Amino acid sequence: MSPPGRPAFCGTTAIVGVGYSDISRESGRSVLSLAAEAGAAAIADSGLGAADVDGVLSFSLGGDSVPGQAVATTLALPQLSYAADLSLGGQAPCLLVAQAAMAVASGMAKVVLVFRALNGRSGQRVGRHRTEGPATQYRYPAGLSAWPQYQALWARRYLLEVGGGPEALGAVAVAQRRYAEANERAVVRRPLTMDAYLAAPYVAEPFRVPDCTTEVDGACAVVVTSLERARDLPHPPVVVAGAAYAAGHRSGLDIGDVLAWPDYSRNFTHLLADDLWRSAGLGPADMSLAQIYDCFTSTVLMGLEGLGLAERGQAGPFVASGETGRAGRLPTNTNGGLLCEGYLHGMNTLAEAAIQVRGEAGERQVARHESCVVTSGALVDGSALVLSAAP
Amino acid sequence: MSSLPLIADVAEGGLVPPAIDPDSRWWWEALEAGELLLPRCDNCAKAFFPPTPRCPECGSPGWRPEPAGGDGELYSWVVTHHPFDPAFASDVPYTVVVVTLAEGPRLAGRLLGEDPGELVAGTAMQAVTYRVAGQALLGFVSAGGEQGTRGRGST
Repeated sequence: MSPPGRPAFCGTTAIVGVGYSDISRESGRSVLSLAAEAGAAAIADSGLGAADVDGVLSFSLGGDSVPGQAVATTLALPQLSYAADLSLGGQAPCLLVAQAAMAVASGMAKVVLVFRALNGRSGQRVGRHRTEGPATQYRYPAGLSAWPQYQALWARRYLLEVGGGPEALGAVAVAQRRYAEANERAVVRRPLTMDAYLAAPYVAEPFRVPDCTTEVDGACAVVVTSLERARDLPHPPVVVAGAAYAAGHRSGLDIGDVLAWPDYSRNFTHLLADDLWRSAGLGPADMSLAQIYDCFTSTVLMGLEGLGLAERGQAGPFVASGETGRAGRLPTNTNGGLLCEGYLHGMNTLAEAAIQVRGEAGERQVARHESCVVTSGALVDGSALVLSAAP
Repeated sequence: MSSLPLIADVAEGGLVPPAIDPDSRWWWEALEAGELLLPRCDNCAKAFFPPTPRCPECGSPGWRPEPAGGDGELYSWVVTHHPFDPAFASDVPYTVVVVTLAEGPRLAGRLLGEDPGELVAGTAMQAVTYRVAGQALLGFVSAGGEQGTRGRGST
C-alpha cells in the first residue's frame, strides 16, 4: 500500500533499458529506421527480448514521426496490451514514462517501450513548421509562428521580472557547452565563452544562436518494467520515484497559443512541483543532479526556479557561479542538454538522467547520482519525473 | 462605435492569411470594418481573448461582443532577426508585441513603423489596423509615438 499522496506506480517501477539511434543533421534514413534502431538498442540494453515487450508509447508533433504500431511491427513485437501515440511536443517524455509505469503497476502491461524518433533537421523542422489550431489566426499573420519567438517573449518577461540580463541566458549556454565537450553524441561541442555568446547574432531577441537547441535527425527510447523484474536485469534499476504533470489554467487553444497565460516569467514547473515532490516523498534538496528540458536557455532558468532548485530570480547567478557544473551542488544537463546533444524533444533529456542514475555515463558521469529530477516541456504545460537509484 | 486608427501606409509585407473559423468570423469582420471587439462573458463579466464558444474563465456559454478602445500596455515583445517563416523573409527584422489591453485580455500584433529600441515593459500602446494584400490585420504602435497620428484613414 502506498502512503497517502504517493501514486502506486512510484517506487515500484523502473527504467531498465536506454537506446539511441545515430544523431545527425542528415540521417539519410527513414524515421522508422531511426525509431527501430533506438527501440532495438533499448530492448537489448534492458537484457530482455522483443518477445517480452507488450506495450509501446510514443509521441510526435505535426505528424513528424511514425506510429508506435510501425515500430512494434518492425521489431517483431508480439501482441501488445498497451499502446498510445500522443500528438504533443516536448511536454511528453516524462508523462509517457509515467504512463508506462502506470500500465505496469496496474498490471495492464509488463514491459513498455517509450520512444521518440524524427528527421528533425533533414525533414520537418519544428523551428519553422506551422502547426494547425484554433488560435494560430491570432498570431501567424503578425509573423509570430516559431518556437524561438514564443519562448523569446517569455524569456524577455522573465529577465524583466527578475532583473536579469543576457548573461543569465549566456551562463546556461556556456555551462552546458562545457558538458558537451565530453559527450561524443553531442552535435554542438565547440567550446563557448561568455564573450563569444554575447557576440553571437540574435535570432529572436533576446535569443542568440547559442540560446537555441539544434534540430537533429535521430531517435531515443527507454524500456520500463516493474522494479521487482528490474532487479534481475543487467543494469542498476532506475526507479520511477516520482512523477507529475501540469497544464495551467488558460493553457491556450493550441500548442503555441500563449495569449491567455498570466505570467510569462513562470512556466508549468511552478505548477507541478508540489505534486512531483509529494509523489516521490523527496524534495529539491534531495536531488543529486537535474536534467531540465532546454529547448532554449531560458527554460533551464525557469525550470530550476519552478521546481524550487533555485530561489526566484536566482537561477542565473546559480548557474553563473558554477553550481550546475560538474563540481557544483547540482550538476544540470550533463550531456550538454538539448542545446548541444540535439533536439529529440526531451526524450534524450530523460535518457541521460537514467544513464547518470545508473552510474554508467563514463566520462560524463557525475560523482553523486542517487536521485535526478527530469522535466519535459517549456511553457504552459509539461511533465516531470524523479528518477532514483534502487534502495 | 469608434474605429481603430488605420495605418494606411505600412510597408508592403508578407501575408499569412488568418485561418478564420466559425468561432472567429465575427471578430475578423469587425476588424475589416476597423473595429476591435472583445467577447465579454454574461456570467462573470470578464472580457476574454481569443474568442471561444464559452467563457474560458467560468465556462458559461453566454457572452457578447463589446467594442474596445485598443489601448493597452506592453507586456513583452520579440525582435525577429531570422526568417522562420519564409512568408516574412523580406520583413526581417521585425517586431511582434504582446499588449495587455485596458479591458484585460492580451493580444499579439506587429509593431508598425517604429524602432523597437525605445520599448520598455509597460509602454502605452495603441492597437491599429493595417492591410497586407487587402487583408485587414491588427497591429500596434506606441501611444505617444508619431505613428499615432500618421496615416489615419477612414475605413
